[in-house]
Amino acid sequence: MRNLSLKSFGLSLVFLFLFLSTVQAAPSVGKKAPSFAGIDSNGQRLNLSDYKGKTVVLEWTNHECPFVARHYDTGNMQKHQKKATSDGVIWLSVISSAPGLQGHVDGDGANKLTKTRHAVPTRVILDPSGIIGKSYSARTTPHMYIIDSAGVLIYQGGIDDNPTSYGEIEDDTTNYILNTLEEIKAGKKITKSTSQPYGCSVKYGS
Amino acid sequence: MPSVTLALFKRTILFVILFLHGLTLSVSNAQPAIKPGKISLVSEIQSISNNSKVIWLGIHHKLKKDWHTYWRYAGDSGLPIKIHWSKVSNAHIGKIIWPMPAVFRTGSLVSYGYKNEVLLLIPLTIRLYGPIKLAATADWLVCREICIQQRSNLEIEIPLGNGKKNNKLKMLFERARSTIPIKLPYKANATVKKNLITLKLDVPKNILQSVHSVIFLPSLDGMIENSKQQIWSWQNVGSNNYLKIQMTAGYGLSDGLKDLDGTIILGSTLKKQYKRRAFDITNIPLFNKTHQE
Repeated sequence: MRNLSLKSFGLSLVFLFLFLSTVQAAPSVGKKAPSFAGIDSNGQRLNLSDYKGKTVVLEWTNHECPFVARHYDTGNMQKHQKKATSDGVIWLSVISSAPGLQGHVDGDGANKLTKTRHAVPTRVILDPSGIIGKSYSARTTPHMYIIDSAGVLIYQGGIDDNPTSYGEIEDDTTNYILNTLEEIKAGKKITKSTSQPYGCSVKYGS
Repeated sequence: MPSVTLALFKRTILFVILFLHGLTLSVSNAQPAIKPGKISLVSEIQSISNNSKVIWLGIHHKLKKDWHTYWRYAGDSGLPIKIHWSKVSNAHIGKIIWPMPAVFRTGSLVSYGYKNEVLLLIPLTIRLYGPIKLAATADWLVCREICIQQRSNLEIEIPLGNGKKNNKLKMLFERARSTIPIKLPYKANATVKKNLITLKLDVPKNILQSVHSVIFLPSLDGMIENSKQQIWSWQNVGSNNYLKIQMTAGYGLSDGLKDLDGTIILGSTLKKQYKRRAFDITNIPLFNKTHQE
């Protein structure tokens, strides 16, 4: 506000939103991914730095969200988890729904979902306080991030270019996660590093 | 805001209980049980006359309390309506013209859209004199704490006749038109330093003096952080008056964001019809001042 105090001015009004935001600045692609520590669905601690040297996919999820359900009901998410993890990629599904809100589960609940949906993430992170979600500015379920082996964020955004909660995954859909992982594997330049995430809002508690 | 938070918490809990009661956890099973609003395709005129050239259609949403649909850019979450026209006779359908939206905060996320009632305007250019028959499928997302995606079949037939307006819908169309953003008639420039975007608009003093709220709504995701507070002020330096809006840049900045596009909504104390007015800005070049001192 230096300009304001130096220059002459008639009247200055400052408008603040009624609710101050707790979301931090969005992490930038090309920069170090925010570090985090958390608890997984088996009660084990984990730290992003545990996976240094590996490519990490973060998948924000909420099983009651119709957009997420579409990717699991069609087997699309499981297919990509399977492909990625068989290539040595670490796939972390993150649940940031607060207690009492849509998609909130405890460790057993999360493990049951993994089993019944035949999902194959490396681990499921429970983030009911939303701290990890907010540090990544995760907004939707799904919202996807890819971190390279040097810990740099190389993709953030939607899972694909087909923002709907309806129907099969069509053949002409471009899956950004699949493409980016293929490019990393082939040592190619990343062609698409951001996109608009789509889905339900992440059900943060505050 | 403890009372607001408590009320919101109670409402959320109540809703979750209602939602779970009698329903399974499967969303696909839950969907038909909730009817958050209606959609219809309407025409401003009741019949096509010889003189009809461009006529106006509207997608009319009537929503139940607390539910909302979305603007052309939905914000942190949500989706704008998508219309797939399957039948169009004798006419060319234009793009949706979006009335000024409202801002919704859910937890720490922000979205842009409409509650209660909205009419999305669509111009229709008559190609051949004859009755108009239109059919479309609309995919629309409607949300409060949770979202439900809807698919609706829309149909309308406009017969030949005297071309008179539909009296029942007159107010609805007029109201919608009065809230369509207009192109900003003032100069604007934008700069960015680190991750702080400053948008300056040369707005006349008489308008500035009545302004009590300002918000910039971006056209594209990642332009700004929707959830970050925007700080605005107005200044007069000599005879120049300008409105300054400061915003936090979004992820787009590190991905080649070159200009600002969006809508500025001014709330003012002027007469009723000007209480809120919206201005569109397009292609305002964003000068990066990060490395200047």
